[in-house]
Amino acid sequence: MIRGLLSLVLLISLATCASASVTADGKKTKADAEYGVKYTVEERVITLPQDQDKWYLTVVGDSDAGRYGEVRGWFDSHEHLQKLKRGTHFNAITTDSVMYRDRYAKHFREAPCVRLQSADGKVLFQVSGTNIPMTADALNKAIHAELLRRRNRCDPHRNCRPRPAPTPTPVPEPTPLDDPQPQPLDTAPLDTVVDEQPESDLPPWWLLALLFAAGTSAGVVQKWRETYYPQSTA
Amino acid sequence: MKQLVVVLLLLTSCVGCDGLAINAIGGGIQIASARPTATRKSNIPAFRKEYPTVNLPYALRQKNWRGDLGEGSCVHATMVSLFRWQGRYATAEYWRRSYGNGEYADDTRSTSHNLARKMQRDGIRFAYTVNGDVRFLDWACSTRRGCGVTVMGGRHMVALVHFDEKWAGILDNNDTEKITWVPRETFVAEWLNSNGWAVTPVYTPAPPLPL
Repeated sequence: MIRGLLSLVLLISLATCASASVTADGKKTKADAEYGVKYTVEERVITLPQDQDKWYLTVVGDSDAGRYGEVRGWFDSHEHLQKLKRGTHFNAITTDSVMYRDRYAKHFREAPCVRLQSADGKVLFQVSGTNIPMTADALNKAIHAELLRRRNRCDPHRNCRPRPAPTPTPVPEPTPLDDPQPQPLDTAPLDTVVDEQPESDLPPWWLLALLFAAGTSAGVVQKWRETYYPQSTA
Repeated sequence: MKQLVVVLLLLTSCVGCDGLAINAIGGGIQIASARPTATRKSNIPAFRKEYPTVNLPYALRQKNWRGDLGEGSCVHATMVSLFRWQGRYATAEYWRRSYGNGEYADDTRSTSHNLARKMQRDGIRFAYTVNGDVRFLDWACSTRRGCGVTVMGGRHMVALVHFDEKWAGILDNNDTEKITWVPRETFVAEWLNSNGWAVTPVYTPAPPLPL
């Protein structure tokens, strides 16, 4: 019995030595060669940048094209564009990069392109190809004008703040209308009575038939495409 | 008669609809379509937000490799992927060439296995936690940077590429083909049980796809 207990203690201590070691400064560490994570227990407080709401400024272009380099350089040389770059997440993506090929290619029509997005991806400003202004100053003004237009779009008078509900004075008092005098019924002669059908809420039959035909065609076409042209939906 | 026609029209409108398939795999949930599908007539994503947040293209996902000591390099593989996502391609390639094997988190040891020391030496801007502070994970994914997190009792590191109120998306460097989705609480429990180490470079995340 005692031998058994001693063996068990020995096995446990060996297992502990195998999985944990003591470093030169006396800290316990663990290592797992199979997966590759080692750690010691430390704590460190770091001030993390709270830039969740920062906009994204992206310049896309062919790395060999001079125009791309020129436009990209504006964000380092022009005072206001430089300021815009510092205040946003700035990315310069070349069209020959894997990131562009696999992620962005289908979202850009032409290069070079300058795109400004909100933090959730909404495109606030975009200009590309020959539509890019000739100078940095013109580009800066174009961005500024577009942002100003977006800000004022909801209200031409630049007043988007909610207004309090109006309180009319004096308070209107409802005055009930007098009952109208009874009028004789408009009776028609018996020989002119028309056997009317009750009015239906449904649209006319030809419209229903048209919708039916359109729905059927759309379904058949969609299934046809899915069946015979599956690559076009990728 | 007209009511019958309306019913037929409604049935016809259902032609061509595709269902949504969700497969339960190994305790977690693997959503069949890892990325949002685009509508056929336009490139507008089916979802307003991108899933996962850190949607690194497959070709840029770094697979785990064995270092010269025969150890796995999951920490470095995760860092390489995150460097690429944050636009530091040269740093990523340098890291891939220069480092390997297992790694410690802290910056107080003077051994060669010391991630913080390596990052400081190479001038890398980074942030990490080793005390299991879930706010770090929230921060890392809400800023679209992602982070490396320990799992499997602290023996392995993977990239946390999505973390919202309900789900955690994991990119494992041992299987980079898919994103594994697990409920948030399940992941947090696993992470806390794995020493709660998380680390990420702090650079510019790749821009989101346009809405």
